[in-house]
Amino acid sequence: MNSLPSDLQTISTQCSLCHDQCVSACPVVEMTHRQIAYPSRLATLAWELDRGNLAADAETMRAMLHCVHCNACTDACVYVDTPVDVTPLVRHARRILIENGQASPQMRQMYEEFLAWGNPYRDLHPIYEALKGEFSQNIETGGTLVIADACELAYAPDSARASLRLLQQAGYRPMALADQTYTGWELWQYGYRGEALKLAEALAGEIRRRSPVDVITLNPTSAYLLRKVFPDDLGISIPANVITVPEAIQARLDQALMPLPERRASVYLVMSSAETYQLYSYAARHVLDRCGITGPGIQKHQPYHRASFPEGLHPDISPTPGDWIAERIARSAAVERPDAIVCTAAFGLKAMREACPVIPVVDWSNFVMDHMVIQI
Amino acid sequence: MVINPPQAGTDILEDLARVVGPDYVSGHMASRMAYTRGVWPVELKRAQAGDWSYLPSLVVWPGNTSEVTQVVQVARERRLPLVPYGGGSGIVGGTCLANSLVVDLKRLDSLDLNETNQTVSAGSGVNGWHLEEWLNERGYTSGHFPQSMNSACVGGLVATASIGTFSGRYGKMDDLLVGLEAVLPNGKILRTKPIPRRSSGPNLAQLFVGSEGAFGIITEATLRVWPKPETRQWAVYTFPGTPAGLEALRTCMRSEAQPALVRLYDEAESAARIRHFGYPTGQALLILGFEGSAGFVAWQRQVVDQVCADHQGIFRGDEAALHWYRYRFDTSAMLRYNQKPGGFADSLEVAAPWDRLEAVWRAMRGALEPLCEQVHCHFSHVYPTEGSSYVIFYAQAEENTPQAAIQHYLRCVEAAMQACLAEGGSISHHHGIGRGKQLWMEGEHGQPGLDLLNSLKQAIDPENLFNPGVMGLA
Repeated sequence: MNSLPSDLQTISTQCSLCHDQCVSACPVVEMTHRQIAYPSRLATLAWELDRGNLAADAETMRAMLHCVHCNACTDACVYVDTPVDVTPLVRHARRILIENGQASPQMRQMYEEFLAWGNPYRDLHPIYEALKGEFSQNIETGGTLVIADACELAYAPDSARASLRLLQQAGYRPMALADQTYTGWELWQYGYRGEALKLAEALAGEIRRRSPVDVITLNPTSAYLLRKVFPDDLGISIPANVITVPEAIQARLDQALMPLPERRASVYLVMSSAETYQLYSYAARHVLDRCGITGPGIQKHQPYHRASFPEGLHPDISPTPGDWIAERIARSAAVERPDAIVCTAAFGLKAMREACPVIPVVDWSNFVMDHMVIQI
Repeated sequence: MVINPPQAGTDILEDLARVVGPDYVSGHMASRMAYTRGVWPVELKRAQAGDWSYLPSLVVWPGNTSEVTQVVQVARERRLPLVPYGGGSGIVGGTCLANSLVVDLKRLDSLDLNETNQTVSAGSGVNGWHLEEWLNERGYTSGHFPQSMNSACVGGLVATASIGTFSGRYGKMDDLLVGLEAVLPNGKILRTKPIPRRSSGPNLAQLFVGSEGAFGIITEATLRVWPKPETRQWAVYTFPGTPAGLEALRTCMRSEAQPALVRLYDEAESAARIRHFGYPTGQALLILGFEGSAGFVAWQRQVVDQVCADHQGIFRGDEAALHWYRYRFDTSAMLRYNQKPGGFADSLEVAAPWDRLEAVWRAMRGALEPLCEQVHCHFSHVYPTEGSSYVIFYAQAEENTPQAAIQHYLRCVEAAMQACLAEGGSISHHHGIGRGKQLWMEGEHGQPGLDLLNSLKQAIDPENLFNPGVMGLA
């Protein structure tokens, strides 16, 4: 008996009977070589799990963890005009498995750390408090609310500081840091829907109370959650314009507030999967263009589906291909020798630095500040 | 629901784990389910019905040729039939066998470009799209762009005698294959020299083109490659009818100006595009693609344009061609039929000499139309001597169940195959035979031909362990 909700039933039917034109885009298939990682097969397994034809056991959970939610398959979907997103079905299956006691040890650890610290990255309060002191405590109405995401604070606190400085220099004042740093990406992705919902409600409440003009997220994935996931999937409306740091800077550039010097550099730009697949936002690249870095200056921009990190994942939890993609980029960089590898998100920065010790790996905000003159 | 339990015991799992490592062998239901279909409609309908009675017993992922030989050894000792598996994109049921050992070859992903010989040696698990990207980064192209290239792997492309949409310039898999490495059923490794043109007996590499895993496991193929073309251009023509378009194509292919890509849609398949682009109704649409140096392409276009004009073809720019290119992998119309429990859609690709091609096209259309809601037909691969007719049919069984769809589908295929053979056609041009077309292998080859194939199979694989049942081989 099929008990899938109708929207998931549609995804299941569309995806599980597909001709698999998307698999060449899937980084997990390329990394693992497993048929089980095909989106169509994940859809089939989710369907059979729901029908009771597949045991809700640890092996099935391992299978369902193959999806890293990068949405590369959606971008390459055979339904060209109405592409299918298989991830809601995957999350549904994971939730069933969790309810049947099949959360992996790593997932349980993530959950326990979330319960202890409010995020999966342990104690971030010292970093957060140090940053918070530099900004307004209460913007009341108007101004900008910045979400200093847990992943950024844990993996790239210097990058977070640089992003905040960049935003200030670009004229985002008054600016306050949100009380809540963790937007719940991992919880949501792994099927902890109830907990993700509570985080979303709390964040929506804070935004409503502070009434900012803009909400800027240091992590692109958080912008994706707030813009798309919370309203569409969790049913929480976010009462403000939510943008990423590169989008915020691009908005100021479009107002011609920053005359740009003629500078040239050959860089790899590594964007997050949230920017490239889910938000389709290439602001980070456009800003570099306006900095004079691009044109003949950017000699290599990795194809998005090769350079995108399924970031936002807890690095110890999922078979994320982030490290693997970083290694591929590093191999290419060792040959082509760009001046720098510029990363827009913390997890990409971390993976890239570990994979590529011979080329400078810098965060996007610091790189932009080094390559532009700002006049307000 | 029937689920067959793994026929292989834990001891074989342990034996295989000793060969490939414990992470690269699985008997879990989830893994087995993943290998219980390619994209043959019968397999899709079984999956839709929740019929998992065709589950393989085990899946193994060898990481190199040596491991493949050891896996073969284990299978032989246990008399366990094995199925080589690449991307799972086959549409004739060649990779799904109950109680088998699936040998997934996707870990064989080595790539080596030889610029002097202009060849690439690719592991059989290399994805077709990735191969093309990898070559493009180095200034080359595989020239092989089948519809399945996003999911098919090199080994499967060889084993099904595949063809790409730009075959007019780059040729078929049998033209591309320079040499190969394969593990034979006796466990020995065959390595043919990368010299395709030799007068030293039958070409052993070609024995594996279209062999569907019945003669051995292809582990690496050396393929011809080309420098990336300087230009790609498109042209679209309409003709007053399919016969005029076919005659124009036949003349084109006998000139020296053979286009890289050819797609002549019959009046029925042209109709939607003709409406979309506002061309006069009732016409047959021809899309042509040209690749090469700018001067060569300009000359080709001049010759082809004259040939088309001589056959009442009217030039229509390139808009319809660009539209095709954008949607070339979009099979959503077929998928929508497959989603209905009693619905299905499939394609059949046959071949015939020029003097039988029109008759085969008419006969297959005539056979399918009474059974189907829609029948589309186009001609996408042509040669100086023959052409391929490609039929896409969409149907709905009277009873809206997957089981009824399977029965109705089999009736459709039988009608089409009989019509093709009766008019002198060949039952497959580039999809292979698998288990979907095996009933017509005698009609295809004649009894002596089928006997010869069976003798070959018996000699190469006396225990009949390598993908048994494909191609109608006993």
